[in-house]
Amino acid sequence: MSVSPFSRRAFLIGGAASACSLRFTRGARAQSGDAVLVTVFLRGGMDSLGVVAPAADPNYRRLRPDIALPVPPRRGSESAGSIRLDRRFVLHPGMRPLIPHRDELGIVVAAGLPFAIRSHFTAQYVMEHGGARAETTPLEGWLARATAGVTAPIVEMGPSIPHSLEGASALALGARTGRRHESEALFQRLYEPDASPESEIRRTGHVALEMQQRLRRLAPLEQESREQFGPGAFSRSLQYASRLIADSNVRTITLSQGSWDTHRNQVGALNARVRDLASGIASFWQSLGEHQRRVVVLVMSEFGRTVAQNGTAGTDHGYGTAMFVLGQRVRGGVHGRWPGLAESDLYEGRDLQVTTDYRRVLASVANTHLGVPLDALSLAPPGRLELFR
Amino acid sequence: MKKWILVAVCVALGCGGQAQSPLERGTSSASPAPGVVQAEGPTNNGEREASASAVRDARQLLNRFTWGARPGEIIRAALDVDAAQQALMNAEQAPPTLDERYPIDVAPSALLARFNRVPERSESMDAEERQGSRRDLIQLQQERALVLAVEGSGSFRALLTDFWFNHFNVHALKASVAYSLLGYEEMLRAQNVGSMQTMLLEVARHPAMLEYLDNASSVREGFREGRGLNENYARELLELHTLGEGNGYTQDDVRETARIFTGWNVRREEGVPTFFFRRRAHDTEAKLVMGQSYGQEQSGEAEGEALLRRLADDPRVATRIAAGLEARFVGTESSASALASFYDDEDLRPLVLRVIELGRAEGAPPIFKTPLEYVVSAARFVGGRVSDARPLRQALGRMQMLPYNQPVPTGYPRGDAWLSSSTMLERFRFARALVEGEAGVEFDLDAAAPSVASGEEAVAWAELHVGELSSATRAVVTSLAEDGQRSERLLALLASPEFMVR
Repeated sequence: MSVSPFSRRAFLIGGAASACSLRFTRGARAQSGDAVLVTVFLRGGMDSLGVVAPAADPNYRRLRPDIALPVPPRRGSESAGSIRLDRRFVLHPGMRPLIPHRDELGIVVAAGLPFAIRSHFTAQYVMEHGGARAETTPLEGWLARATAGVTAPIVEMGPSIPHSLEGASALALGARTGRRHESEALFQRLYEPDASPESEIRRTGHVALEMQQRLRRLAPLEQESREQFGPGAFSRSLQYASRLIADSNVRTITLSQGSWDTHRNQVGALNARVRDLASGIASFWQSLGEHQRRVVVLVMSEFGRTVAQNGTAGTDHGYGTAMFVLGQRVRGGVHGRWPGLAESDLYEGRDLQVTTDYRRVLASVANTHLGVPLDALSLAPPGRLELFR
Repeated sequence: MKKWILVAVCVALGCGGQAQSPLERGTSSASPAPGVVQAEGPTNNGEREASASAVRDARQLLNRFTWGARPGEIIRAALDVDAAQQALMNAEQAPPTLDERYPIDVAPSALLARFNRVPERSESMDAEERQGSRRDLIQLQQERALVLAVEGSGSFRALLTDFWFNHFNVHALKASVAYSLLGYEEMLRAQNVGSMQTMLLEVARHPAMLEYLDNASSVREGFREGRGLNENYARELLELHTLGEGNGYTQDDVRETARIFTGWNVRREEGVPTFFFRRRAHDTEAKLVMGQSYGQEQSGEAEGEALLRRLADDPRVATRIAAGLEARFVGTESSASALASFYDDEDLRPLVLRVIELGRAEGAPPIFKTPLEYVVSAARFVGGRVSDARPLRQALGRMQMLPYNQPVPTGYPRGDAWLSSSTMLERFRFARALVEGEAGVEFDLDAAAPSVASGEEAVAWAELHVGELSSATRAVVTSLAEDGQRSERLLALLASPEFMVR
């Protein structure tokens, strides 16, 4: 609660305004090189045990008689069933498009909040702010803190800024109206940098308008992506994101994918979600081409789901979940300690236990990939988590 | 500084206290433009003057201690600022048609009867969405709250209700809070300059709070298999409602407090959540909270009551409440300990009056409006009547500040925490929609942006409402003095840095 966003922001906006050539010049603390971070938040609570699971564990099969992932015959099998990842874990068959990148896809199992929260809203709020508990959650989003001092544009692909960017100077691309440029000229005149008493509000408004204008110039890219990749909001957003990465100096991109709240008949729903997610990310990754080396994709969700299926062939709000990190420097494979699925291993006798505080994963990505000092993040230190090579 | 004489039409004086001043109805072309400050104009019979300092005082009073001034209100208040301040302490008056437009019976039983139909379930829906009718209720309540804020009488009591709701935050989407929400807010409205003791007690017993912070199901250890103590409410009582984080209590005190409140549960009577002291679930052993024992002299429900009375009377709580009011309404962080001497746990009025005095003072720093304050004050500025509240709700949704929608118990952050590029762009977008009539808010352009004869008059009009203009804003406003530019001038004012603060 002792964060003072105002003064910190004053510094960051000040940096932008004084650079004032109104290009997206880097601020006082550059991200390491030209690193780009793309975060994908899976809203609704991803059933991690339906995506990455110890399929042969008798407890798993016993607790999920109708919804367990099938056990595939051998490693890398081409059959339609699930994909063998290592000696213990299998992946949902919908993850197949990511298999060519398995050596750069890190999967942190049994990750999650340090204290269980089973409400979507509260858990998302706390996680996106990088907090531990609801009442001690910092005011600023974790990404806002991780990008403090960086003036390269930060964009959310959807219509409104996510909690993770609260306090940052970010733009929601989905909110752009793309018309009525005439009143923008009026706003620009109102927010002309003013010599008289320095106003953070004026500088913030000025930077916002400049960012918006600059991004509008990239609008044709969006149209192009739309034509090229057709419908499918999630994969289209990712394609547009890859164009932004290639053709602008955007360094931070956030996206969300909804409908992971699979309380009933989850097999079909989960199949659709996982396919959409994996194929979207895989084609994004391929379209990046030479820019791949600059980019890390972080995929997270607010909580996992009950280990046992419920009475309607679905799962309810649980605890431990999985996080995915994709990048050329990422160590592929499973990270984190597996807590087990025996009844005595479960949290409150029903949920996957958390063995890796999700904040360690955020800290690892921000520190290693973006070069943010750990003490600037107010997150848990990564400790022995070695996500990166 | 140039001396301005304020010209107000005589009839305006005769109808102080009316919801709508004649100034809002537009004027004949013969009289001076409404709301316009005239330089050294003659004072005719039937016109009264207000000094420049009274105008400043009135402006600050209304901008800071109401949801925002509606057309003509600053002029009217400037004629007798102290009377205007007294009027602000009256309970908020809802617009007469509110109940017609938003026919909600706040009784939970009525709400349950009306909004508890479970709609068709669909695979693609989120769990929350599946409770469609509850969502309808929440949206209706949000829209009603926005209409009340935009069209209600200018009252500080309305802001105090908002302050206390935020202090004792509950979330509409938790359990069945949606059905007890309006009753909870009405209780805070009734108590907002009353007794802290009473407020703490009523909050502690309210089903909205009991469900939101899980005390509804907190029972003594061993009461029933698989159930037990829940510390959530106890922790927030000490950490957020009263003492403040780390302010002289330990985790043991949290646990002991939770034991005191075991059995403060909720039961359903025909589906309606109601407070219920479940005696058998109450932990009857002795407890020790911050050196004081409970459960010996008094027992049962009386233990919790005694602890709440003790907390209400604690000087640390006085300072904390004073600091909260100061930050929100004075914009400083230095006077809390002095302010706390005005705190009386049985009567909050002296403290509130002192806060107004400090916030009215010249030199009190400007406070960045929260999204809610910005949207509502803009709609009030134009003298708006809400014909469709959905766009207002959607705008606040994009700005992440819908009423009753903060999931964490800390409530929404203060104004300055909201300043960011995205905030600014959303405000520009809303101002434009409002002025272009696309925000579901009807208004009279004659009242919102009266004709002016010159650029200087345009500046005078703007300064009447927001105080001295920066050079950039002044240049823009000066250039928009033509009649055909009134909408643009209005937009310029609403989007200006000056209008972003109160």
